[in-house]
Formats: sequence, C-alpha cells, structure tokens
Amino acid sequence: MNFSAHANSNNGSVMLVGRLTFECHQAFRAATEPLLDAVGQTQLQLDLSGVTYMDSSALGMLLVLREKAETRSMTVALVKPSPCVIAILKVVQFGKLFQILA
Amino acid sequence: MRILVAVRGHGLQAAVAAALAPDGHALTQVEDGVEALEAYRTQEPELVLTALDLPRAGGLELARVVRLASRQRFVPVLMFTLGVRPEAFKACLEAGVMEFIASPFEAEELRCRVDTLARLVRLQRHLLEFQARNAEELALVKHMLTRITGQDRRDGAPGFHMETLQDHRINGDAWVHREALPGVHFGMICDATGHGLMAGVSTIPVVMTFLAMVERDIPLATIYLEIHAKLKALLPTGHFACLLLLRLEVAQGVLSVLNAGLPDVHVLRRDGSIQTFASAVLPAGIRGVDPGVAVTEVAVAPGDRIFAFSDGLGDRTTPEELRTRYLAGPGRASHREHCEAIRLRVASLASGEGAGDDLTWALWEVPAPPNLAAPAPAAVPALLVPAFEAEFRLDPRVHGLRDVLPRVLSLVMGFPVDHGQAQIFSMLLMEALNNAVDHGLLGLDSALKARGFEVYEQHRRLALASPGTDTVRFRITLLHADGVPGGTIRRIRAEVEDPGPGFDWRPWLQGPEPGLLPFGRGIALLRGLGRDLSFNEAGNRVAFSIDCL
Repeated sequence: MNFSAHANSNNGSVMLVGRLTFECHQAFRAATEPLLDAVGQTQLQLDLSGVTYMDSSALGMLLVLREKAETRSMTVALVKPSPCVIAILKVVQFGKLFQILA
Repeated sequence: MRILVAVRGHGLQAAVAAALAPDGHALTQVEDGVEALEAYRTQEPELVLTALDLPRAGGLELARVVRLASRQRFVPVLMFTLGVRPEAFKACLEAGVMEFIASPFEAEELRCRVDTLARLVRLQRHLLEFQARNAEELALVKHMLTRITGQDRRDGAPGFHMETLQDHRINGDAWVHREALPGVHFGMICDATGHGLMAGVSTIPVVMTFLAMVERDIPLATIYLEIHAKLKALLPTGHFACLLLLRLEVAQGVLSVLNAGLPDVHVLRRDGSIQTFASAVLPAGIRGVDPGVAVTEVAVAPGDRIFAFSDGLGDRTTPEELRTRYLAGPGRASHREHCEAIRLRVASLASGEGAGDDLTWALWEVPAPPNLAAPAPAAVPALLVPAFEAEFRLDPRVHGLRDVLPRVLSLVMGFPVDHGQAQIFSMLLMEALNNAVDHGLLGLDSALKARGFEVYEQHRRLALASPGTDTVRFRITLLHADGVPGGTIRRIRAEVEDPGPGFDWRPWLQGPEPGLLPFGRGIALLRGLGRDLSFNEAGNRVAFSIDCL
C-alpha cells in the first residue's frame, strides 16, 4: 500500500500522499477522525497535492468524512489536488459537494 | 487434534505420548516410513511429527508427500532434529518441514510447538471455510447479476455491443442494452463504489429499476431520480453508483445522454468528427445533496457510433490513446472490426498500471431507419379514404401491452406502409394505451408517480390482480389516397377509449411541454409526433393520426 497520511491538529489539515484506494481506509480514518474533534476548527483541509490516484472507494471515504464533519458543523476542503485527481473529481462532480482549493 | 507420530523406539514414542496425550490429542504411532505414508492416507492426521531417519521411507519423503497434498488439506510437519546435519536443514524445509524440535526434547517445549502448529491448522481451516463461503456468495451474486442483466446474451443486439473485461471474480460494473420499443434503444453502464462483490451487489437495484422503467419508455431524467432515491434508501454513506444512461430513437435520429460520473461519452460521426458528452450530474445515491439532472439530446445519423466506457478503462487511457486506438472507427473499419480492435486493446490493459478495476465499454452503431431508401412523396394528399380498419378490445389482466403491441404492429406492417412511421405510430399507441389502462381502467392517479416509480408499480400490480371484466377499446384505421387496392398507406389513425370517467384534457393541449414532470409525457409525445390529436368531451377517448410521407 503506497499511501501515507500526516495530520496537523493545529490547523486542522491532513496531508495525504500516494494512491488513495480502498486499502487505505483505516489509515485515512485514523488520520482524519481525530481532527473532527479538534476544538475551534470549522474546516478540515485535505491536502491532496501528493495524491496520485483515487478510486471510487476513496471518493466514498470523502463522502463519509463530509457527513461526519457536517454533524460537527464543519466543512471539508480539498486542497491542491494534482491534475490527475482534479480530473477524477471533475468527472464525479465533487465540486458540488466540496470546496476545492487550487 | 489427530497427530501422526513417526519415530523409532518405544522410549521416544512413550515420551511423545506422555507429553501430548494430556492435551487430548489423538496419536497414531508408527515406526516405519511406509507405515507412516499409509497412515497419512488412511488416518488423515492434522499434524505430522516425524524423525528424519525411518526404515523403508524416510521423514523427508513423508514431508514431501504431505506437502504435495497440502493444496487440498494443510498439514504441518514437525521434525525431530536427531540425525539432521546442519547442511540438511535447508533440504528439510524445502521438502515441507515447517518446524524442528531437538531430541531428546522437553515435554513442555513439544507441547508449545504442537500448540503453535495447531493454531496454524485452525487458521487454515477457517480460511478455507471462509473461501468456500465467499465463493458461494460470489456465485450467487454472479448468477443474479447475469440473470437480471442478461449479460450472457452477447449476440442479441447486432450493432449495440457492450462488454466487460472482469478484473475480479464477479463483474463490479453492470451494463444493459434493451430495445424498449421497435427502434427505441436504451443503454446503461453502472459503476458502483468499490470492486467485485461490493460493487456488484450495489448494481442489482440499479439494474432492476432501470429495466423496469425502460420497459415503459420512461424519460432518462426520471429513471435517474428513481435510481438515486432507491440507492439513497439502500446504501450507506460513501457508497454510490456512477451512471451513464443512453436512449437512442432511431426513426427520429435522436440520442439522449445522461452522464452521472462516468468518463466522456463520444459520438463518432461518419465524417470523422467527434462530439463528447462529459459528466454533468452527480453519481446516484449520494446523500445530503440535490443531484440536479441534465439530459443532453443530440442528432445522430445512421452509421454514427457511440463509444462509452467505465472509469476502469478511463484511468488507464491517455487522451492520445483514446483518439488513436478507440475513436478511429466509422468510415475506416466495420463495426465488428472496430469492436475487435477495442477488445484487443482493452485486453492488453488488464494487467497494466491501475489494474484492479473492471473494464466496461460500449460501442453502438446507429442503424438505418427502415424507410431510409424509400422515395419520399411530395405530400400527403388531402383526400384519404380508409383502406383497412380493425377494432380491438384489450384486457390488461389477461395480456400485457408488450405482448399485444408487436402483434398489432406486425398487422400494420403487413400493408404497404412506411416502416419508420409505423414504429413511431406504435410508440404513440403504446403511450395512449398505457394511459387508458393505468388511469381509465385501473383508476391509478398520476400524482402517485411523484412518490416514486416503485410505489406506482405496486399500486398497478395490485389493481391488475383485482377481478374485473372491463376492457380498453382501440381502433386502427389505415388510409390511402385513391382507394386503389394495394395502394401506399398515407396515414394511420388510432382511437383509444377506456371505461373510466375521463379527465380534463384541455390544459394539457394548451400548456407548455411537461419536461421533467413525472406525468403528462404521453400527451406531450402525442402532441409532438402525432397529428389531429383530439379527445371526446369526457376525456376518456383519444384519437390521433400519423402521416406516412
């Protein structure tokens, strides 16, 4: 599994690196869920600049995270997605669901 | 645990028995290699404890036999090190020995090593049971998917080719082609979250809903919204289905596309130009959002091809490859050759970068409408006289519309009539009869459709199961210009009357096109494609005509 996640609870961001697929879901949850409980954060930012590929399961993980964030009055932003990931997000129209920050 | 013990000497055998018997193991003890092989075959031990040196056949040979049989049944071999030279350990491991124990041995150590191997055996057994159960579950889903989609029927629709190169034991994508009415083709590619079983299960409600709705020629937007509602009710958050819905009406030369999360659809024109239709709608089943619907309609001509694929193929194809390897089709190669070239290319991708997803693709070729070569008369003469007239009574409790309509159409086709127009007539008659049966005879309220297709269908099934003797009456009249026997039919007229109280038809004749409304589409079709649409005062009888130019 060529994937790693590094959370920064100070600014509510997670940097994801590698191929984000079904096999990564435990690592993804472990990195992102603690940030949902971070006091004072209103937005969780996923830095996707190091992500080279996302499959449909990974898109599903984003949706689950978005739902959990909403219950805590938080939003999820996708930051600096690579061109490959931008193409994937565009096809599934996730710009309608997430703020995408170039 | 059943343990085969192959060691020489009563002293060693007694020591092994003393160490292992208290734990409840059942021991079969032999002192000879051939006896050990025979006992392995007949006693089916779960673990073998052997010495290297045995009469007639050694421990190494025993280990090899056990290893060869391990594909069917995993049995670990534990060997006493007595007589094993240091350089022979490697040969023992290669022969299949998993563990060694010194001899003489400590009873507690032997118990620990046997216990460790026993845990391995139990794990292996659980794994095999899991695999068998998993294979059974996969087989069930595969069977259901195949039955539902008819994906085993490859030759049913010449020119409408769709297929998947599976990367898993079951296809996680689903594709369907149906000719809902003569000359009206529906297609779908569904790529649900995940792969294999996870995705395959999610596609079942999608396919069933799609098939039920295209049977009644429901608009793509309504089909999408119904599937979206159904998936939201069935799937947990994080699971959804990317959909491509296609509707091709051959006689009108119109392709409708609803792309919800799949790669661009390409229309390849005979002149070499290419038109693309990007995803414009969210995948179906995503919670907490209004997906919005966008259906694009485009004119297509006979010989044009429609190429679509799932993201399994899209992820492994560059735009340049797409252009040179997949889209170079019409005008150069036949549809069959084009399909073969795509199939070869897709097969070469199966083991490449990104492997792990199913590769689904579709290549449709727009067929020629039946009247393409017919000379077009200048206009329909003003004075037409009936050449043939027939009246029918339909009891939908006995015969379904889809059984009856092809027979009626074949009757009409038996006359010198423009086949393309006859097919449009058939579609309009279907709409009129559907309305008459559902609302006039069965008394179903159109507003029910707003509660979802399934709710409507449940009410319909219940109403059809209720006893009754009333029928829908319909009359078909074929008219020609001069009354000459055998003359070309210039107009087809239909009149459909139901036993219901009727409805207020006036707003529907004057109002705007119903568009995405879940009801009222039948009247819009009759208005748009037919002529002389009229109702009686009560609104339980409708008449319309269609000209055959």
